[in-house]
Amino acid sequence: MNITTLNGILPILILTGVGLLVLLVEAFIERDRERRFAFILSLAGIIATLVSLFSQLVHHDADLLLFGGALIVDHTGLAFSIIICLGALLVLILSHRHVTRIHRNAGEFYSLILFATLGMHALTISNDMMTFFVSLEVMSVAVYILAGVNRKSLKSNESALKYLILGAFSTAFLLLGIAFVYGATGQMGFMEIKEALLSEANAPFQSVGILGLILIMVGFIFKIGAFPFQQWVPDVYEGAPSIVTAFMATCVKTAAFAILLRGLFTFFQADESGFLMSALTVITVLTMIFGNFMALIQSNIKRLIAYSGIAHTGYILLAILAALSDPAKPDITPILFYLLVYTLMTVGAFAVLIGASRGGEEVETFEDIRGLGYKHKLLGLFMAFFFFSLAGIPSTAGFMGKFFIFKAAISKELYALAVIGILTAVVSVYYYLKIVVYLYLKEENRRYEKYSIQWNYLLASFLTFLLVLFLGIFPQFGFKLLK
Amino acid sequence: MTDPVVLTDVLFLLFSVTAIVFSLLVVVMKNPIHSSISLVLSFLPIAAIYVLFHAPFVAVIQILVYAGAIMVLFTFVIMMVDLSEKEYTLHKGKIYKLLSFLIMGGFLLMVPYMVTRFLPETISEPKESVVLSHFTSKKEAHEFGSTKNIGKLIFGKPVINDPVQANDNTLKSMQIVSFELASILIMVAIVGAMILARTRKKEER
Amino acid sequence: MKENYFPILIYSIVVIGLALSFLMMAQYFGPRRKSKQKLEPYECGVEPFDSHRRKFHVKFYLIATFFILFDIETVFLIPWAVTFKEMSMIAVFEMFFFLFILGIGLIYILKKRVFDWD
Repeated sequence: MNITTLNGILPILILTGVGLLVLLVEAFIERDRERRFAFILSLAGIIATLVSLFSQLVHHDADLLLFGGALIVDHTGLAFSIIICLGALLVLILSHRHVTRIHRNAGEFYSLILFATLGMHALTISNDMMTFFVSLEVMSVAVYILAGVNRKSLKSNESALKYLILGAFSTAFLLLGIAFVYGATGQMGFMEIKEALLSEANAPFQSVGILGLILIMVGFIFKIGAFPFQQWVPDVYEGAPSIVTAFMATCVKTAAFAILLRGLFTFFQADESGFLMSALTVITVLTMIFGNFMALIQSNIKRLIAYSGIAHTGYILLAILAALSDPAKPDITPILFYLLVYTLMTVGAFAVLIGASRGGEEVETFEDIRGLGYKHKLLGLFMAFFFFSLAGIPSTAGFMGKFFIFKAAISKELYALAVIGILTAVVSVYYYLKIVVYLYLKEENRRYEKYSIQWNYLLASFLTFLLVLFLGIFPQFGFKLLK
Repeated sequence: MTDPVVLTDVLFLLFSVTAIVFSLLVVVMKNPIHSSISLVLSFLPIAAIYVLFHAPFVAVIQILVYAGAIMVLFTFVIMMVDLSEKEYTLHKGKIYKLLSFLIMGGFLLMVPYMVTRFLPETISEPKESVVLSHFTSKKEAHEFGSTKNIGKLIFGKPVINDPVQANDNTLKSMQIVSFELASILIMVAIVGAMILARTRKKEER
Repeated sequence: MKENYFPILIYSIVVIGLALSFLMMAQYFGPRRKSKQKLEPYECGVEPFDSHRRKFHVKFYLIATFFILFDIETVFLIPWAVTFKEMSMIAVFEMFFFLFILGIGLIYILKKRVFDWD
């Protein structure tokens, strides 16, 4: 256990320590002081993790294989982890006043978010089937619990139960796939699996290995919420408390994409028949189409964001396909950029929704946001901005994200996919703008009280961040180096 | 050489059929308590299969944890959920049952097909898998699942000994990370159980 | 390997055979006289006044859940206990770390008074 190992796993250690500490604080300190103390602790923990990740990224010269290949600390993993921790940080800030409305003991909520982030970070740097599986489970179980943390709400319970059952089912397929791959290759590490699957000596067992890969892919597709297995997304996103939905829609998706990417660039390369690639293409197209078209008919904003999240998953899959056409030197910058932008936009949109829901009622349907732009000028402005960005209106960060993805797709000659992507993106403009229109409709139906400073802080930081992203894209590229 | 193999085959067949029968009974039985008892009964032949595969530790853990703890939990849940007789059956259309049969049946048929598709005509050790072929001696292979070896797998350098790479321990991954992450997983489950299932007492803060 | 497990086979056959034979002997040799009162659920001599399906308390479920979780901790302890003498010192510290994390979990649930009965 030398100093490089310690530095490599420092984020994991920080998150573990702070998570446990928050739990102890919650058990031993009484109510009011506890909430603030737990909040500050978890905030400090996430910030410390971010600092550690950034410093590792900056001082990074070579990929670091830890524990004999169980973990790999490389640019991709660190970049994804930074996006995840950023999302977690914003969700934490957002949840400060709001948590006690959904759950009495805020410390438990914070510790779950910290453990979920821990699982996600371990997922992005995992390089081994076992590490991958256990960290996936840590993340998933924490998010299952978070989805059901509001015990008073029936919808929350229902969404947690649905997520748990479907998630456990997909994990079963994933585990079967891992078992088949292990039986076919005898290896656990991703690199070794790829070599073993491609080697000649292994030919009798290769079909079993491919079957295993297909099953693992099934598990992935569930987690990212792409086409055949996306049924859980709208119900779970709608039922869970808004903060948890924000966390799920951004961080969980990013972590799942991180491991999907790592899998695609290692052991999925062993699939010489190209079956998995064609399957992925079909999935991408159907995801983009399904997400966008289903979102058109929604009247509940959280459900709409869920379906549009499915559509965004489709765009990211398109970027992954573009990167995959050149496996030796993949360009994953569009993927990372889009995930970063998507995280920020989505958390911002949820921030506004939560900020608008005072007096104990959640802002959910179009009727609830009618006229919001007049009652609260600033909130309406932010909301409009975030939804413009999600729609991909030019001069926002969302537009730049989509632009990079389509540019990458076209440059890799995936013309049909890019066209479908652009068309569906145009469709998405309709439902995003519908929200903005409702914001400024004349009839005001509710009195909104003053909202707290926390949300202001969050939204202000967001606004500046997005403007900065639009203007200063070049620093981002230096940040996301190639794998 | 052939005789012990035949006995293993017969036993494996016996245990698998028993396990399949009991698991089918789990799904088919109307009374949930009967269902959970069949589930427990299906664990026993599975544990026996683990013993056949030279993994006695896993067999013991299967009985201890699965049949001993998890089924207790299931029984508590069944007793907690107050079901009356008429709520046992699921009123879904026949088309769903047909579809699910087709899909799962297709999946179940696909697995043996893919496994046996490319097996060459003559295999010298037909019952050995790739995993076992990594071992240098038969004795070592048969001890793979023993408690000692599982301990070494988690806490030490892995047991799978490829003579060529025996000294290169950067390639063989160490399972210690997943072990520590498993402790976090248990921790998350503890917190989750507290959050989701805690009773609220009047005098609690 | 077969030699080690043969006694278990004998043992299980004897056990199952014995249990089945007792049940069957009770079935066939015991007197069977049914009366209405014998078939009612027993409640200290008075008429049963409540449905026999009473709502179960959640705390049983909670105790069972914690039992499972700490049983899984035991599952990890067993292979370690068998092999740690041959490992380097670091294996001991790794297990201590594991136990430490779960110890904090135990402290947490103790402090939450989940084991206190009403």
